[in-house]
Amino acid sequence: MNEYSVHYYDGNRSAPRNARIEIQNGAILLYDGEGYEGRPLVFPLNTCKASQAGGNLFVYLGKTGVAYLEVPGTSPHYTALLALLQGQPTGIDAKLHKQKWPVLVLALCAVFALVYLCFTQLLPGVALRLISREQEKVLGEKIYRSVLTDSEVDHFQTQQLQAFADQLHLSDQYAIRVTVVKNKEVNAFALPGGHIVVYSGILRVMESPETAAGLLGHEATHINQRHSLRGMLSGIGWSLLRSIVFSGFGDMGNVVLSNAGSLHQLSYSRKLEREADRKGMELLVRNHIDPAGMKTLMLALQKVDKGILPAFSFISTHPLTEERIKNADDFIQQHKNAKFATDSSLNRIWKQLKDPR
Amino acid sequence: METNTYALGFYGKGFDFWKIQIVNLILCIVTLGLYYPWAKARTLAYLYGQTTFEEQPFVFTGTGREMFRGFIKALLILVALYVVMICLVYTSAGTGIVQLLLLLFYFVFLALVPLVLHGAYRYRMAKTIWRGIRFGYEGNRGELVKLFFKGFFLTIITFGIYGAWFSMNLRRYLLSHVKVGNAAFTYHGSGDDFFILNLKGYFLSVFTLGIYFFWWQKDLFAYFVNNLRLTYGDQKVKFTSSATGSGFAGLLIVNFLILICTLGIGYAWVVTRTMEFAANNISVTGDINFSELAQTQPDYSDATAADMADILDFGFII
Repeated sequence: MNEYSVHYYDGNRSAPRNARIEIQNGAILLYDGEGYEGRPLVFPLNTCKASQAGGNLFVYLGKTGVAYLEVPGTSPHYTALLALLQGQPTGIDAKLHKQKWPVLVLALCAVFALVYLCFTQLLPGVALRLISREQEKVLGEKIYRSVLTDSEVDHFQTQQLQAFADQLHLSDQYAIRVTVVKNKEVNAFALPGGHIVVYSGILRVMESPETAAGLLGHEATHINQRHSLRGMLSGIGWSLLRSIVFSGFGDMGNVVLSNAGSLHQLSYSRKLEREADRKGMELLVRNHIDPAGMKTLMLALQKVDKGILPAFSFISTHPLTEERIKNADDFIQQHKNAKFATDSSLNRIWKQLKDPR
Repeated sequence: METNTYALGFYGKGFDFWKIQIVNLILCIVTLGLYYPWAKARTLAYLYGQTTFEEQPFVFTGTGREMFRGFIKALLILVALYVVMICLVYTSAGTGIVQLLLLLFYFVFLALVPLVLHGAYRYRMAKTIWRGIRFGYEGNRGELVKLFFKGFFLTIITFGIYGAWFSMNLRRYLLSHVKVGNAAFTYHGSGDDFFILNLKGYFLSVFTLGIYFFWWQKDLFAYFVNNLRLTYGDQKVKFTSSATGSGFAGLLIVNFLILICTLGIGYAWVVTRTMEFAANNISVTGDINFSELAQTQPDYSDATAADMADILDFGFII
């Protein structure tokens, strides 16, 4: 007979009584009172909760959990009862609680990764679809103005480089606006909606119109493929997540604002840079410009590596990987039989730009 | 009269509690926070269940479902209050009564504090069980509101000095209306002593460059514990703190280091260490026969106030 003696606290008085239990058909039958006779109280096991404290086992009876049984650690049936009464976990949370700690840590990491992806990929992806090109242009204009507040624009070079860009068909959807900023650092970046900002430092590094076309092609691809907007949105998502973790939901508006201004520090993923290289070179080919210009640009940037801002998107896969140069090489090989002739007006504008006298 | 010593114990393990916290965290994230009431129920159930008096554990019988319902109600009440406030302020914009309205709303929010305290105490006590006997809070809502407003305004008028009397009056009122079955708690702390204790603690901490802080904490803990009594008929039980300043220094410094070195992951150990410290440093002596308690307190399952205390970030005030 599976009968066990226990202490029973009945939820009416604080004094325990000796009682006897049987476990049958998934229920505890409790025999209480004189000689343990009469009808037992029945508690289905799935409504009971067991816990251990101080080496004793406690089983809380029924849904209210006020009355309970105590099985002292000294009881000869302790282990048998423990196995019987702890029961099978039901519900996701109870099952999770039964897991060993490495499983839980892994699960937690997976959840963190999921949340991270949600905020930096999924939400920005949805937002990207919701923002129309018109809205993107308005947004880009605002960012452009805030980015340029502390910079001095070189109007002559801006005019020349804009004329240079106008000779190329850089975009079907966006009006590409180029601005040259007086700054010795080697940097250039694209803003959502059509603005490309070029530092005068990078113009000094470039030796041929083909390299300049390579740079513009690369940056214009970031605009055409909405990389800039995507990068900005995932930057916002990431900061939003950080601010929720560290300071709750109060700061959200602030995060969006402070982020939009720091766009010139965007870096894109390897995949997006590769895409900008490839599509940039395709753009050169369409304009009858030798795609080798892209490779020349890469090599030139590699040479002045130290002077380049780490924020410069072109080399955000820092250092400028051999892989990207090799990809450029492959592309050039595919087009080695094509004839390229850089337009004479491009050459003329380039000369003006490099040597205004 | 025979004097007994009763045993208070805490058997919780930091590791076990940490596992509970991890599961709670996972489920809270996945459910966008909706699991929180169940997480709280599980946390309390563990901490209660591992705390024993006379080798019998305390039991928290509150459920996630109750607290979830309470949470929704609390949220609706707060949102409704905000909506009414915003509507009234908009419709009366430009007139002189805007300031008056805002003042009125501050008053309403202030009035929420004692109401929330009252409700949170009722719920928490009704869900606290020992040896199958329910605790209960029998305070009167109106009295608590009066006590609160009196204390609040005197504290403002005296630039905070009355704060010591305010908090002791509140604590005395709340704790002196707590019962376990037919035995009643009383609290005997007073503002005078509490004020001097804090004044001394503050200045000595400043003079000793913070070292005295741990002894100040010891005094605060002792002031709480030593003034607590439990009476049952003509039988009494007295609580005494045996915590020392150096004990507090050990507890708090190590807790701090655990939190810093584990970047917060070790929070579970901080909780269990603190509970263990408290249980080991409270001695209970007296002549109550704890086998004579009877179930006298009603159950109370409305967790609205308890949840509102959570939303407004009160903690559980004693």
